[in-house]
Amino acid sequence: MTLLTRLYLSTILANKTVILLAAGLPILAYCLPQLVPATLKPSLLEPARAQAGWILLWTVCSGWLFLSAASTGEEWRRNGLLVYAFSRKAARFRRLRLIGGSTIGFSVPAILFVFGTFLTSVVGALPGDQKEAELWIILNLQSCFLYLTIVIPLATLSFAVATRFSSTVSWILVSCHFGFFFQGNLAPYLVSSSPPGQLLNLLGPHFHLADLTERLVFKMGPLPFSGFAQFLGYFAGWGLVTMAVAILIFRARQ
Amino acid sequence: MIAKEESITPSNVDSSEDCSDEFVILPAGFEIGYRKTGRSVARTSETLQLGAGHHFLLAKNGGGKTTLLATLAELLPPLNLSSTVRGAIHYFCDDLSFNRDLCLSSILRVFLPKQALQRAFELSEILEIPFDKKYGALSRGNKQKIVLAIAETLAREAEEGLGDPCVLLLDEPISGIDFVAREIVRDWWARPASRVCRLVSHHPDEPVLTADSVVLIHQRKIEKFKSGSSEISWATLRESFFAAA
Repeated sequence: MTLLTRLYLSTILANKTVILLAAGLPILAYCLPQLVPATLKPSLLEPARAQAGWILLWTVCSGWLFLSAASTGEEWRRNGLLVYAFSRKAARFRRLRLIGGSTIGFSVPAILFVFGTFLTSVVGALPGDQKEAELWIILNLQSCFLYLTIVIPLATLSFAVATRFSSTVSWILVSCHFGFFFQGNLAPYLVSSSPPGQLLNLLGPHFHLADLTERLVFKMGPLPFSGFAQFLGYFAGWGLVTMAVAILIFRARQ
Repeated sequence: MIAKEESITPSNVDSSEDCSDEFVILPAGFEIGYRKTGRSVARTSETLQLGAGHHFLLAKNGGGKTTLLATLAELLPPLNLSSTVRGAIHYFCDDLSFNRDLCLSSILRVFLPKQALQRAFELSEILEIPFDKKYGALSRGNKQKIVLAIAETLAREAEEGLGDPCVLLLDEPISGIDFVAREIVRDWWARPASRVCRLVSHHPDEPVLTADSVVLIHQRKIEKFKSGSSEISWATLRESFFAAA
C-alpha cells in the first residue's frame, strides 16, 4: 500500500464515518421499506429492500464518497502532505503514481459499501426459486461492477479538483456532473432541445445506464453478457478519461 | 567552535569529477526561482556540494529557503541547470501537519515501515510526545516533534543500512519546540552520519549551532560556508552574513 492509501484509510477509520455508513446502509435498507406502503403487499417488501439499498448506495456515493475525496484533497494540499508524498517519488510518472495511490484508498470504502449493499440485496430479497435466485445474484453483481467503474474515477476526480480549487467547489462540480448524467429522464429533454443539448447528450457519460434498480424491482433479470460487457467497456473508457483529467488537474503544492 | 575573529569563507569546493560522497550537488550558475513568472530568486556562483551530515540553510524571510528546498525536492523546476540529489528525498515542509483525528501511533504507522516503528516510538517517548492525545489536541510544539521523530527515525534506519541513503530537507522544523527538545534534537543531529544528509532551514537563535556547513542565501547568491570544526558560532555567522550584505 502506498503512503497516500494508508493515510486515507487511517483517516477515515479514525473519524469513524465510514464504519457508521457501512453499518447504516444495510440497516436502513431493511428499515426504510417498512415505512412505505410496500407493507400493504408483503410480496413487494423484498424488492423494496433491494431498491432502497441501491438508491442509498448511489446517494452515499455522491453525498459522502465524493465529499470525503474532495475534503481529503484540500486537506492534504493545505497540510503539506502531498508535497511530502510528491518529494518521495521519482519524477517520472509521479502524478500518476500519487493519483493511483489515492484511487486505491477511495476504492476501499466504495467496495465496502457495495459489498454491504450486495449482501443486503441477496440476503434480504433473494427469490425462492433457484433459477430466479441465480439471476438475481448475477444482476446484483452486474450492478456492483458498474457502480465501482463509475464511482471510483469520479471520487479521484473530486480529490484532484480539490487539490487545485477547494473541496466545496470540487464536490459541487463532481456531484452535479454525476447527478446530471445519472438522471436518465433528462436524456429525452436533451435530445429534443437545442443543438448544444443534443451534443451534450451525445458526448456526455450516460451514467443512468449503470442504474439497474428497475431491473431489480421488476425482476427483469440480468443484462445479457454482451450488453453488460459493452456497458462495462463504455464506463471503463469514461473512467480512463476521468482519471486522465484528474492527473492533469492534480496539484501538490499550495 | 570557531572563534569570532576567525573568518568564515565560502568553501573551496573540490571540483574534481569524483563526487560519489556528495549527496547534493548544485552546479555553478544553478538558478532557483519560478518558471511561470520567470522570477529568479537566487543562484550559485560556484559548484556547491553537500555530503553526509548536517547542514544549515539560512536566509532572511522570503530569501529563497523554501524555494531551494522545493527545487531540490523536484517540486519546482530549476530555472536553468539541474541539480543532483543522491538518495531518497524526504521533504518536510514547514506547515506539514496531519488530520486532527489521527493519534501518534496511526501517524507513525502510516509514514514508517513496520521494522522502524519500535525506534520511532522510542524517539517519540524521548521527545515526550503524548501518545494518548489526538493530533488536533496537541500543542504546536508537540505537532512539530512528530515530524522530527519521523525524520530522525528515517535517518537512523538509513544510517544503520536498514533503509536507503536519504536526503532530509527540513523547513524550519524546530521553530515551535521547547528548549529541552531542542537540546535533544541538536544532539541527534550532531551524531556522525555517512548515509544521511540533512539540510535544515531555520532561524538560528541558538548560541551555538552544530553543523557541518552552512548554506547561506543572501543578495540572490547561494553560498556554502564551511569550517574545520563542527560547531559554528551564530555570532560569527551573523558577522559573515552582514559582511556578505
